[in-house]
Amino acid sequence: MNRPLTDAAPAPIPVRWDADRALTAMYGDHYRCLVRLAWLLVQDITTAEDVVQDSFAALHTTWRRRRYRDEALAYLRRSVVSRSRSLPRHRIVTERNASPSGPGIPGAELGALFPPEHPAVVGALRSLPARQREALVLRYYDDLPEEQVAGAMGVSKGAVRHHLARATAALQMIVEMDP
Amino acid sequence: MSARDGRDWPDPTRAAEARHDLDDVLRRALHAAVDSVEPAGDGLTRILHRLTTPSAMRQAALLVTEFAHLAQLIIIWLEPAFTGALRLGQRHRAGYRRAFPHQAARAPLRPARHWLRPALALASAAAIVVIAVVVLGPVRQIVTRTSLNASTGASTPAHAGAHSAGGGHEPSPTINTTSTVPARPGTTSAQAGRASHRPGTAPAPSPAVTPSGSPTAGPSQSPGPTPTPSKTKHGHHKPHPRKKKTPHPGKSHTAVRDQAARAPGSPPGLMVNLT
Repeated sequence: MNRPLTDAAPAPIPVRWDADRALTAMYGDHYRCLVRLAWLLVQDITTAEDVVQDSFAALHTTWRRRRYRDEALAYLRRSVVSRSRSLPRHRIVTERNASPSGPGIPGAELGALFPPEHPAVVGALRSLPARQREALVLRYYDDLPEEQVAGAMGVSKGAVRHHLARATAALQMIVEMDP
Repeated sequence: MSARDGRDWPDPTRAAEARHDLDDVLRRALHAAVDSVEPAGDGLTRILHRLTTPSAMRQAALLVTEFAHLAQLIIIWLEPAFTGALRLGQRHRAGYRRAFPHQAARAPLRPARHWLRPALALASAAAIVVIAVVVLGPVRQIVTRTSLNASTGASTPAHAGAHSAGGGHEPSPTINTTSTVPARPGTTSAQAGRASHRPGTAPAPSPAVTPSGSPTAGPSQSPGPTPTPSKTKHGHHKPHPRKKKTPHPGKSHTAVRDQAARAPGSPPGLMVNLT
């Protein structure tokens, strides 16, 4: 089962750990969840892995400058969201117009096991703007409170509420229209 | 749903429930969507590889620097060779100018014309054909005359027999030409031949060759110049029973021609008819 990607879930990283050890520990605890989070944002497993690996590499590089090492997971999440957003626009557009049978998208047999609203929700998630999609994913996939969502997105709490409201309204409309 | 002032307002409890349901639906849908996403197992290795290898910009800078350094080294290594080649070329050019001062002083050659070679080849072929026609014609005539003189001068029995046969003669162009030209209007060469070789030059028919060798040939049949009619199957010659002495066809040709040459009033085409 997917473990929620919250700051309280993993054990705190000791201060005396070096970068390699902290990186290995963070990788074992959060790598899969971060890749899935990135996949919801970029809709491509390879790109998602690249984004998460770059984030881990950046964490390793800046490990010595990190004052509060408990914020490592927050830093990774913020890095993943920022790098996913800064991907080339043509790449995102291409993936958005691609067929739904991509490598990271479940096939027909897997889709049959999912709830009936799953394909419509994922399709609607693709059509949302980047900010709304980020807020929605961080809020409903990571189960983060609005404050942490705002911290990960680099926006205010009110902006997060605004994005969430518009995103849920669009999704509700799409799901209700889709039988 | 509460009716207040005659208007329907949404129940906050139901709205919260609906919102909660939507949140649950979204949560379950997102989790169900990412359940199939499994990252590769070599993520940590790739992260460490990214940490050990330089960035793309640094790699590009290193590549450019290495290529520049390599090009500089190659230039340094090949400098003696370049210098030697340049000196050799200069010497060659100076020697050529010394050897051929006029050609060296001349302007550079014009670019070769593409049509020149085919035109020269065609002209050469045409010249060869014309020369062959012009030269080989007299040579052919000379050879023909020589062969004609030789044939007229040496009268062998075989040659005479061929002439007497009327068709099996040598393919001399003069003879062929003359044999086809009629001597008089209304007469053909066959008639002329018959006229000249009346009994003796008639072709020997097959009855003359008798396998039995019996002398049953009629008096009209000439013994012929060919020895075949008199040859038996035993292989030895038999004298013809009624063999009369006929002049040799070759001799008759020569005699008739001499006679025609001697006769002043004879037509000039007589010799043609005879031959």
